[in-house]
Amino acid sequence: MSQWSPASFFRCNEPVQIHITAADGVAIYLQIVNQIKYLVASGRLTPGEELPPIRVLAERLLVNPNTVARAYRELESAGIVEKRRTAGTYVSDQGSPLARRERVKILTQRIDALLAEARQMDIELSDVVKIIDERHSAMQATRNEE
Amino acid sequence: MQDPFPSSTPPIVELRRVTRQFGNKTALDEVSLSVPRGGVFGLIGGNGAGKTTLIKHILGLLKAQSGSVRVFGLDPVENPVGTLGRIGYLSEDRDLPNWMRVGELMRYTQAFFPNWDVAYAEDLREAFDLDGNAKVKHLSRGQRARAGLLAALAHRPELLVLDEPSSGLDPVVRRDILGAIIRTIADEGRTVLFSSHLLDEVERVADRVAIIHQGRIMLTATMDELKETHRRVTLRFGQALDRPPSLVGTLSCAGQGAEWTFICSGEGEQLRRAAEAMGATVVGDAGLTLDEIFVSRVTR
Amino acid sequence: MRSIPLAMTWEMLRHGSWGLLAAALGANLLPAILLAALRHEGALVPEDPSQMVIHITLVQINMFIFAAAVLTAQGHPSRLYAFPVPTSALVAWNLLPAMVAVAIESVASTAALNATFQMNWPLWGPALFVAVALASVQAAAWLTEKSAWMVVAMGAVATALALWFKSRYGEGFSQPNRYWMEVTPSEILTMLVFAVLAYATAVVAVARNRRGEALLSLGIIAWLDRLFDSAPDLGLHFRSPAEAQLWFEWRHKGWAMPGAVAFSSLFGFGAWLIFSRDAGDLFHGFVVGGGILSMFGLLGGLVMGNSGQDSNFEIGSFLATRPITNTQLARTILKAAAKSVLIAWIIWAAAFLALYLLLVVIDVVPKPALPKELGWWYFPATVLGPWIVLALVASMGLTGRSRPFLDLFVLTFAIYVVLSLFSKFALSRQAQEQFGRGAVYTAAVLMVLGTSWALATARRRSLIGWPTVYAASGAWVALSVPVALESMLRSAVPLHIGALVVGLAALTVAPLATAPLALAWNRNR
Repeated sequence: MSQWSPASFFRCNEPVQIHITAADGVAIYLQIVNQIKYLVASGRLTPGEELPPIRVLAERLLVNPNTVARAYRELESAGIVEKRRTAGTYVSDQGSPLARRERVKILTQRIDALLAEARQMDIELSDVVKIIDERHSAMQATRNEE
Repeated sequence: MQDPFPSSTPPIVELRRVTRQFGNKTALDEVSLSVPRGGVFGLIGGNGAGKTTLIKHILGLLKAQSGSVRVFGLDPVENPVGTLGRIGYLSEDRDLPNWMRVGELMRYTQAFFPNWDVAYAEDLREAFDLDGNAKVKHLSRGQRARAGLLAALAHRPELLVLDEPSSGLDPVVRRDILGAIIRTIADEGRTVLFSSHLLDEVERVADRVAIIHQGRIMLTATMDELKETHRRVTLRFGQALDRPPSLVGTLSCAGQGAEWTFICSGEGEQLRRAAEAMGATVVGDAGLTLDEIFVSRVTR
Repeated sequence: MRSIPLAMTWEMLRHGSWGLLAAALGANLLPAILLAALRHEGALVPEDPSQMVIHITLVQINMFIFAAAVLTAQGHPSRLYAFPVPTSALVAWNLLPAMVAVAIESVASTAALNATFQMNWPLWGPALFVAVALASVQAAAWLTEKSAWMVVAMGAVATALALWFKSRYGEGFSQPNRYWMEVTPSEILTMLVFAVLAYATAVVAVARNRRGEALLSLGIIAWLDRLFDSAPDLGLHFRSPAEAQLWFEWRHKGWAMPGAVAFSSLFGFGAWLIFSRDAGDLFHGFVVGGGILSMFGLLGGLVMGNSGQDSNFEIGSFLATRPITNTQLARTILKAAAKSVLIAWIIWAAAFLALYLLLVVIDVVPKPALPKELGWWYFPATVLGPWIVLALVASMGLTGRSRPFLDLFVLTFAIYVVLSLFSKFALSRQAQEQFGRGAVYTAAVLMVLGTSWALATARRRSLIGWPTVYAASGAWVALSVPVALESMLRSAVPLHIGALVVGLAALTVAPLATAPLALAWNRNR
């Protein structure tokens, strides 16, 4: 399958990337939804920041504008973004319980995947928790050094 | 599934039971197709399935031997000005007058289309990096496709018809073409009809899709419908089986022993219940790419 | 297949089997018929120079037809480029079977004719010659492939060889006075040299082609191209689709006929300067040139009637999807065609007039030798003749289908041959005259009926409006009236000639209907 180069749109000189691929059967609108969710959750899209207009994003990603519209609708109903009348779509304030629920959901999915892999590799839960602790301490240490 | 375009306006292209034979060969067999106004309509099929023949009927290059063809409500054979004057067409062979220069081509085409936007045409020419003085016969393949695309787009046609627009072109030109398609329908009420066998492109931009195979329309659906009703389900049975059991709506299946993978069309819930009824557990459930859907549909 | 030469020979025979047979039959049928006719008349006298001319011509026609068939049956050697065979072998095994084939056919054909008609035509000379000629022409073709020089090269080689062949029968350009019965050693040597040269040239040409190298080029064509390359039409502004389309037709095709006429006039003038400087000859040449204009109409018709790319007459999708009706498109094509004919005629007429005035000035006024039957009608005839030919041929081309017309052409030719033979052999002198006149009447009636049918059908299908029909009918009558007047005022015009004129007048207006009909048949299949 051909892979299209990542679309980047520049806001305040900060490239934010969405990468669409038709390769694995996941619906395109879902890919957009998931990636924007992740960008918001990881802080690369800040609350109050404007998302590109549907038309512009569609042209950058080379997908149908309706697909982008559907993605925006899903994000809106999930509370990640909000539509301000005729002024565009903006990332909503992350303090709302809806937004936090979304973030927890993303993390839960990651943890599920982690646990499934651990089971396959025959590593016990107690070991997994130990490793998490170790890695967390290591990360704290490097952050303190900076 | 909700149609994103529940429009009350008449379809922009309507074919009713069109049949076409070339000697002994039936190129189109009772083909009925309805392209609604607005949106991108993808016509997909293998080589020789009948895509170009169908498109030629829409342009009035072929007369329907039986059935009827209506574009904008008019017969394209009887009324070439009323139909072709509102259509932008890029042919599969990129037929352009070889002796003309690009600038002459633009001015010549302008005379035929009252809606020609000179400024927009200039923008396109610059964006496509076409030299106005270059002769068409000296253009590379990609440049030729861009020139044809310019001539088709600059008058902002209500209907953009593209026959295999990406065939034989490098990815850069393909991006231009897809971009043009998207910009076209972003404008209210304009429609794009394109045929392609590069299904990953169709998947990205099409709203509706019709699969044509051996001159017959196998199915017409919105892209959402299509993707939601075709799934790859992997079932694990209680014991090893020699032959896979038949599951309703199966298009194809593969596997061995106790694990079998089905490609089926149908509602997700239905499949689950059917599987459970047979005492199998669902271990995998994934969507299919348009490519896989097409192949499984066509190679039954 | 154990060897390359066998394989290539087998392929040539297999691929061309029907074509070769048909060509052999056709090429031999013509001489057979002609000789039979001569024998019937009792005119088969071998020593007569005109007989020799017949022999030379027939032999050359025979060679041409069969050689063309053989060359067509063989494919281009590029099919075999990727095979592990050296170019020299490739060329040799391409040429040799072909040379042998044409030589055998020549011998067989001459022997058969000799036996049937008790003649003594030479066997071996022509056979060897045709083999060498085939190799030479093929080599020339391979050398100049894909270049505009190809026709020139092949023509030059063929002409040179034909002249040499003719010289075996008599000196230079004079009448032949002997048969080429014995092939002298010097002639064998000459032919061998030709053959070796041809082979060497062919190997060089094919080797270059195989390596993908460009042809040797003097750059003349490119230079001419640049010379005639018009500056970009920057100030183009069309007020209507019809205007744009007229520009299209004229720029693309309109200059073909006038250009050819101008070029040929220069060429003819040059030939006159070299071969004869007699003013009377030049004048006569120009008068004849007026008649030849109609043949240029054929060329023009093939060019203007081609709505597709290259030599494929099927309308291209670009032109077919212009938002313009068939009527308008046909009309612009006819306009461009008329312009083309007019300009070509003006070139001829102006040159003619200039020459006449010049001759008057230098006081060498030749007798105006206009064709006797036509007199002053010659001048309108020289403009209507090309128009009729061009417009009708263009209409045929515009249909986008070659098959029906090839069939029609062959059928017409066959009918003509059959009727001529019938008339020659089965009828008395007086009956022949009546038969001839009857044929003219039939032709005239067919022309009138055809035109009427075309006008009616085009009108019925709304391809032309009533004004066009009235205008066409009016023009038809206007063109026919002068003949009626002439016959009433002066000597009676023979009735069948009058009918012919009426028929031709019909054909003058027929394109108004046939062009849109043809185009509609092409565009909406």
